[in-house]
Amino acid sequence: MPTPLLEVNDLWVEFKRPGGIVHAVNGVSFSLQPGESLGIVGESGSGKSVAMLALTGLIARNGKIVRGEALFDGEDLTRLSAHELREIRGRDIGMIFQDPMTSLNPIMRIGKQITEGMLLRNYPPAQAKARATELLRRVGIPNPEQRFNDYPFQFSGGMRQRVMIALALALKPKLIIADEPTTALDVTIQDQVLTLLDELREEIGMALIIITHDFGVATNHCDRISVMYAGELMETARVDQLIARTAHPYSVGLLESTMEIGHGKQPIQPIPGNPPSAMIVHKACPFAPRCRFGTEQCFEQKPPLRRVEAGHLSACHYAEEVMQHVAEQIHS
Amino acid sequence: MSLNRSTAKPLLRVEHVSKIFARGREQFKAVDDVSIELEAGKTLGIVGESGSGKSTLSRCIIRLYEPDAGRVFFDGEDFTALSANTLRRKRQDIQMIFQDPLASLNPMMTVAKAIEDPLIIHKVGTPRERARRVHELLELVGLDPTAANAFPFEFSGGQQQRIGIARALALKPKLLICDEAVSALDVSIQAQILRLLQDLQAQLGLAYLFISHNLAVVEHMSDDIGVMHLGKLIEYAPVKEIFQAPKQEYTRTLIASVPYIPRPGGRHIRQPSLEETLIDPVQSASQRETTPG
Repeated sequence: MPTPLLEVNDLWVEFKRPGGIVHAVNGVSFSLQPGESLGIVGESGSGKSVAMLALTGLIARNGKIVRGEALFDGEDLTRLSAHELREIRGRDIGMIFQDPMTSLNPIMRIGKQITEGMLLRNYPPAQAKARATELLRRVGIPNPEQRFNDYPFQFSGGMRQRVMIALALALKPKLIIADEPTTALDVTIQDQVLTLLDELREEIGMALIIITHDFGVATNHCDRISVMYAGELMETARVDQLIARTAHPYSVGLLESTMEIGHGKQPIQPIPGNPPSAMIVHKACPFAPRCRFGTEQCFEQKPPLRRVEAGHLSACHYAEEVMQHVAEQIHS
Repeated sequence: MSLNRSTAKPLLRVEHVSKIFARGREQFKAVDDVSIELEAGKTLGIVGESGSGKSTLSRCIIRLYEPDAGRVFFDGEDFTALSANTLRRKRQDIQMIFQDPLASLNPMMTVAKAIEDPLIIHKVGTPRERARRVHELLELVGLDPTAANAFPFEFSGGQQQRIGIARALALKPKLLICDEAVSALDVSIQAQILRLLQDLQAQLGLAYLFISHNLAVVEHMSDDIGVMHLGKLIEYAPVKEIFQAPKQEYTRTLIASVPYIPRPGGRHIRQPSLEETLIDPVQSASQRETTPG
């Protein structure tokens, strides 16, 4: 096994709020190989964004990593100072967020924003400009030399997200973290942006983490998927394993809730109930109250994240039964 | 474009409606000669991307915008010809729910008040009857009666949309316009709200005009589908036809853009090769004027 690019072990993140402590991430572990793409799938409040933001030092001041380590290229991110993290962000880890309009500086020309990081790191200005123009061309901005001097508002949403991608790529990072990169875009544009990320990943050999609520996005653009719920990891698997041998009831429910084309007008089968409050530390399975497979054991004992086959982990007491159930469904 | 159905009396009939907006000296047709029909108890899905005119069309139907051309018949009456007073009365039968329920609920009103509000405005029932109706509505949309005295911000997005639906149903409308009603919700919550809308349709015989950019969602909900692009209704057919034999290239592109889960034995992973279409509705509208196609 080659050395992972990123290895997160038992990460815990908390936020102090006036009403108490929010337990946003509770003992999450995962790893990522160089050049690999990992999807972190979960709903609002599942901790998927917070986990990644905490690693890169981008959470609010009332939040902190209370336990765990995150080895990036051999260095533990959780032990770095704000200054050291700042060096790594941009240079080794590029980031793309949901809303490019709020991530880009509205009153700075996009060319200046893309070259800013390079100039800070002493690129000769002419070289920085040439690279920025080339990046704009590569991400599909027509007339990059002219658009270089435009402001963010002069671009459409999809084009703005392309500018964000160019910015994230400027310093040739080893890893790009894309947090809901296409959620705010129209479907046709969404498809183009994700395809662009796929191509770039292959070309440059960078690793990619896509944080998304959309199984459709994750299954089509990632090698592996980690499913999070209530700040905990429910399941990690290769895409084909996750789909054909789903080993966690929450993943089953999410897959069933994902709207796909080709079914006609028909009744939808939702997961009942609501996600739990993040103010609670779960001593048992956090999904048990909504789970169709749940038994007494699930309300009493926390299921450990365990291996159910090579490269496939599930945090369910009944993972094998769930896999069996999914197999029967596929064959029926 | 019509469905050639022999419906003698559709609940809603939109005939050649257009809406023109001006930006500076430029004009553009947000809705361009659109005709649709919707039967009682059925769902017409309207899909399109941002700027396609789908929301403008719905606003023209209830005359939040005055259409610049065309007519809207609702329940046998010419909606476009009604006086303001009659319109207000008739509009009880058409209600809307929106993408962001929190933005459409008054933050200073308790849930009970928000749901009772339309009943008060339209002078329906005594206070006691209205209280009973509020209780009924909360139950209908799957909210606990204790929710009545809380404020909208205290609820999750899914529950807020349930409150929005309860309010919209207070006046027993015949048509509910759902404008991106589930687009802001998480996957599992989205499925719950869609299922609630399906159940309410079966139970109450509601008709839905279901507007969304999400083709998969629209397919699950609709009997007929209209595809809008740059203000025009470019394709209009029963749901099966749209998905099995789309006639327009744009519809095919839309269908191909929806990510699907690559299940074993399912479709192969698609390799899209779409050129980005840099369309500015204003620009392309004026281009359309000058270059007759």
